[in-house]
Amino acid sequence: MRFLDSLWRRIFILMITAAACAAVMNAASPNRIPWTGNVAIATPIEFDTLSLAEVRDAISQGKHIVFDARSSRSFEAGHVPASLNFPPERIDELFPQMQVLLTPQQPILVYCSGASCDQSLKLARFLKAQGYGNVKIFSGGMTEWKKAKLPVEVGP
Amino acid sequence: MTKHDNYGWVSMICRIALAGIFIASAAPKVWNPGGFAAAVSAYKMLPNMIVNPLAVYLPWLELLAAVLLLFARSMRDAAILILTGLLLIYTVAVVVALARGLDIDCGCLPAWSQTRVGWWAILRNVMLFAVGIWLYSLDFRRADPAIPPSL
Repeated sequence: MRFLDSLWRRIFILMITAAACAAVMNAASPNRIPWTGNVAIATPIEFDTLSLAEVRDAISQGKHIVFDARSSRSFEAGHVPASLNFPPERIDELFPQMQVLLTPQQPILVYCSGASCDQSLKLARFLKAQGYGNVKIFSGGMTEWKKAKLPVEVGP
Repeated sequence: MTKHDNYGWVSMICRIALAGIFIASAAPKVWNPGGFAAAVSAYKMLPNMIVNPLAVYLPWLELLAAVLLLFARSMRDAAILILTGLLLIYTVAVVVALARGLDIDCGCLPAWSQTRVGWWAILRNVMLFAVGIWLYSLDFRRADPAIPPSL
């Protein structure tokens, strides 16, 4: 029984240490998220989300600037044709270049790899904060695009 | 030589494999909790209020338990119990998601594999769970001399 007590104590210590590490890391990390709520649920509330069919229509009309918010490596491995790579991690470096393409009412479409990524949401939030109010998110992202066997552009 | 001593090298390989998989899974989630929160949220099982805290906390629990499983003999049993407990929870979540017809990223092990929710994810988790239980049973026998190793 003493062994069991000791085991539970060790489990408790491990769980508390993990909580402390999580708190410190989340306070210090550039990728920190709020301690309460759900960062992912903000998508449909803050931004219009487009289905695959709507994205195809939007791209064929040619009015949108399409930003791929994934890493450069993922972008070069395959992206939606005519999209521009704009990962939120490189905002400081890339925003001055992207800014010349944009007007405040410019329709912008952003995507990342799919439902389990948040780079498109981060980028959309940044663009909205810069005054670009017409930002939409393709929440299915590259996963849905590839699944539908739509054309993919490879390279930078 | 006891029976469980004969498993020495096998248990060491299993321990390294289990810890390695969890470290590989946890490290990207620790760095990008937002992505993991999106994966957790896609399961649509939890109240929104606790998605972020879990997305911040669980990867650290995985990482710490996996590192201790490798390097801290005195914490090994606690680490194994935590990892097998997490595997059990993740497996139940995948089964429920599959039963509800969700076609989502598993968000589980390892993060870069982009495994979808499905039978493969369940099978893998069950195998890892079995390995964890076996490792724990070895440590339990070592800790309590009253239990014959052959049991």
